[in-house]
Amino acid sequence: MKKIAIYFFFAVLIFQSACLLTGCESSIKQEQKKAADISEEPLGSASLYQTKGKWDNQYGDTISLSKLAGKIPIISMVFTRCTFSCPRIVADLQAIEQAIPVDKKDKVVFVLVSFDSDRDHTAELKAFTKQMNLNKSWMVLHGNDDDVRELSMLLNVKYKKQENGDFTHSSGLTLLDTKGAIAIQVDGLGKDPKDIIDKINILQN
Amino acid sequence: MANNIFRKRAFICMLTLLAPVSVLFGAVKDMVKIPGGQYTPFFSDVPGKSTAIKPFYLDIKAVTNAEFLLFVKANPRWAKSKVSIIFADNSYLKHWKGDFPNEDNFSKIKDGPVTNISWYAATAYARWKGKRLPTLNEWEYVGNIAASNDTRPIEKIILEWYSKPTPAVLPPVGSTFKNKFNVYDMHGLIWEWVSDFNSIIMTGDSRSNSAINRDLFCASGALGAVDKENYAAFMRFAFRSSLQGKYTVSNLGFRCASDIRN
Repeated sequence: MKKIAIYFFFAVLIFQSACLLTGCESSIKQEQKKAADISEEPLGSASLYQTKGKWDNQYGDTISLSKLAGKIPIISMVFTRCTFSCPRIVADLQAIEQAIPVDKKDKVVFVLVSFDSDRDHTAELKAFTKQMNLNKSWMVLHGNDDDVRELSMLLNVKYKKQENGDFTHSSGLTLLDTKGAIAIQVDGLGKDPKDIIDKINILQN
Repeated sequence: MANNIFRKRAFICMLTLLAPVSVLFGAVKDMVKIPGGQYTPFFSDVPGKSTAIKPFYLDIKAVTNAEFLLFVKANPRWAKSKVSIIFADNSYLKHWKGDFPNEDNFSKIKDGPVTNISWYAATAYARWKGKRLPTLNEWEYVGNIAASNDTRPIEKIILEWYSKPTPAVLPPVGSTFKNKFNVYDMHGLIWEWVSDFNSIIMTGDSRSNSAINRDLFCASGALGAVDKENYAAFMRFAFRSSLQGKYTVSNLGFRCASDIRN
């Protein structure tokens, strides 16, 4: 019995010293490395993909924005019952879609995020997709009030819910790079797609 | 003697059992129940039309530097040197010496309201506390309530404060007037973040956003209706509409609210 205890003691000792020499040392190094380049998060600290929101798309999938990493998203905020500016936002995006160079076609994703957390669930998003004739490179998203508000801040979109459930909102679009950082923002409707296209062309893959 | 120890133990045991109950009521500590009522928004599609405000809880005082330090210690990604550039600009917590200021250089400011914090940081703090930021309408509703320990009318208190420069070191929370809802410092100490500050749509290019800009002071009846009180409100709304979520300002802080759960 005593012998077993001694063996055990030695085993622990050996394990500890092994840890000191190898494993723990490397974890200490890692800690130091972390402390040194603290601002460098995996995606770059300017990435919108740090946000934790969950979004439902028109196909009923739940995603986080980081799923768009590697793509070139163009994001706008709308609501499906909107009769004035939102169809024009979609038209602006479709004009951009037409002008995208062939080699970037697979990279660019069009993302419409709804202000209307109460009413724009998957069924409405699906109907909107059909009505607006949006193809597979479009994503229409629903999120909760808090996540929508946070995203609106990040995209510099202003909005206010009206008593009838509709929204007053500013119109614009945001182009993200492949890591999710804002590459360019365009305010207002009916702008020449050229600025966006130029930017898409110089974005690194 | 032994009996005494037993009693003590029983008492401690009881306290331990009661602890979760106090957590349940945690949201109410240092908060006050704001009765529901009507508030007439400063800007509205239908000027003069009032909105119903549901009852809610509001912090009696703004969040202090000491309280915010506890949050930063528990959530180091909100420390000065670590915060993401999308969530705060580079003057975030600029009045703090280091990530976790110690007693010596913190004693002067610890009971003062925390400022130089972004909307994202304020929101994260509120969530950490199990609370939220008040909405713009909730804040304005409480902000319009008369003082209970100051004979001056509210608009006079506000305008006298607006006309003074911000002191280098902000006074402690609770040092200005208390209103009839028992809430301190709604005016006179700092400006405060609200959850939906970006719902004020009065900037932007009027040529491209004309449908929106009808809410603007230049187009609607707001100018015609300006009295002194509205002038003060106009200052607040203009200030809020100039903000972005990541901005930090040396006299902009916050307090938390929470829903009333039945």
